[in-house]
Amino acid sequence: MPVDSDTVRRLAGLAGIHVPEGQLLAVAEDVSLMLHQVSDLDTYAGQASEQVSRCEASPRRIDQPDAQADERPAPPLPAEADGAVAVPRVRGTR
Amino acid sequence: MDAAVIAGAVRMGSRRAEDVIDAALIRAERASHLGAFKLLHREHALRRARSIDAQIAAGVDPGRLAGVPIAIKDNIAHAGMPLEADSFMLRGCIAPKTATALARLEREGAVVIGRTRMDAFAMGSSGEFSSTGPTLNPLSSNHVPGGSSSGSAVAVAAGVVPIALGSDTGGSVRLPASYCGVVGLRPTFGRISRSGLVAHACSLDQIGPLARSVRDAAIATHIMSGRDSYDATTLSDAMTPMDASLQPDLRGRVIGLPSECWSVETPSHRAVRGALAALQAAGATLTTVQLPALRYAASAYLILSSAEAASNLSRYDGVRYGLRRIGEDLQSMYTQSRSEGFNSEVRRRILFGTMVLAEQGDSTLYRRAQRAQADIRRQVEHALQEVDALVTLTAPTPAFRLGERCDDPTLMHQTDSLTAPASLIGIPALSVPVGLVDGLPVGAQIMTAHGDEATALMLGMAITGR
Repeated sequence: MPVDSDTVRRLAGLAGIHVPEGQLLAVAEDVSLMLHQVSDLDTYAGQASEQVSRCEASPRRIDQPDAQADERPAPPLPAEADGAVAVPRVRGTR
Repeated sequence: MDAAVIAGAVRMGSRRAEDVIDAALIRAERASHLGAFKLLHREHALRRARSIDAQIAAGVDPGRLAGVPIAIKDNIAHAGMPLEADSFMLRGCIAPKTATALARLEREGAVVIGRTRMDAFAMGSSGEFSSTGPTLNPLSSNHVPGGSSSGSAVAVAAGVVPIALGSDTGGSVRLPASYCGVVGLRPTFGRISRSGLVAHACSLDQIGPLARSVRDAAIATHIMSGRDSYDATTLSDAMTPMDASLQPDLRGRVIGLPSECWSVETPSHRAVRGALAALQAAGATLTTVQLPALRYAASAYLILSSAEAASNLSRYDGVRYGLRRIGEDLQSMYTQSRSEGFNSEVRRRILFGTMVLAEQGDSTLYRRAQRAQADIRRQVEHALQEVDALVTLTAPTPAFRLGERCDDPTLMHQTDSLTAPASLIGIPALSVPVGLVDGLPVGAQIMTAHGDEATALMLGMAITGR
């Protein structure tokens, strides 16, 4: 667990919040979980430059051929012909 | 009934404002089991309505929202009324002034009938972290209404008022709008003054309307917008009059679909496809765009908003505002007051934010979050030079069951994943209802370039027809 009871005690002191001794471990787990939630940013700096440059190509029109289609999975696109529009729209129904 | 229709009838003299307000108060009492309101201002509202009727009788126009009942979130100041951000910490605080946004609505004849429940200090995505009890989804009382502007969304969805004010830091207007099947707009950062709004995270907070129609959301936003000397972040440029731009002719318009948000197929995605088909039918073209940095938005938001919240909420010390617990010395008074005044969710975010702020070095969480924020901004702004709008789901799923995610912060954290990008960048984002999945509403989110609420509203009109 990346955050221990001593760290929680120090943070609580800085934040002006009392954490009872019996709850230190539970709060440490909670803060550790929050750290885990943002762990996707741990290696962020390395990925960004390459991905940003890829993004800065013009967006692809759906009705235009895509030269890079084999390099990325085709996202499911809004379809008129395949009957995917099954859920009623709000327009005219309220 | 829409606000524009009510105001028209009152201004024409065919309906009395007092009758309109009385009827809204009766509806609010009948819907009290939903827990939308924290407080109803019966006498104040009826007095205001009578003064509007007197203006009409005297030949004076009370304004574009004459006699329209509205509700406001409990973190928006209304002079002489409680201002508690639905927290124990601010219990008993009375607002010394009226928030600029609300004052502008009142100047146009709107009548506040009550204050709505919310997640305390606007920290929460479900509406379950209120100090006065949970608010229920009007379409299913077993499900959350979304947060943090939970009561405002429910007041609109239940038909009590046509317009309610919320605040949106990471999605707090758009998520409850999506879960309750109403319209919710987060305007451009700086479009509406935050003077009189209880701060959560100052670089992200925005006031926004929840409404039954896109047209009402447009009218309210237009009235509230504009430069305010009490808020240095307000925009000085004039906003496009929205009423004139609500013609859903979309020929030549290009809609971008971020592939990162459309790589899975769920019933909610199918519901939003229906909305996209409506946009195509009105002449718009659809395009995919790649915005790989979007996947980091929820993490960047959690880090930056927690750090700002820890800083903002340090002012609540038991001395100047709200709750005070007497301790053995000054330090223990601070600590006890803060420990009892903040709920568990607020304490959790303050501790995490304190950890973020205490880190030192070049590769701190805060710096990495800022880097991600900058990349998201660059990618989205670049995409919005090529397309008129980006469309995603507002929330990954429809409303979930009450209590279902309280013990699963990871799942709760994902609730904000689609709304966080617009918050981090400060661009307008509109949520409109697009259909039902298992009887629960689904919302489509329309994001447009900085300052371009008009396009988002026009697309929203094309989808909802109102």
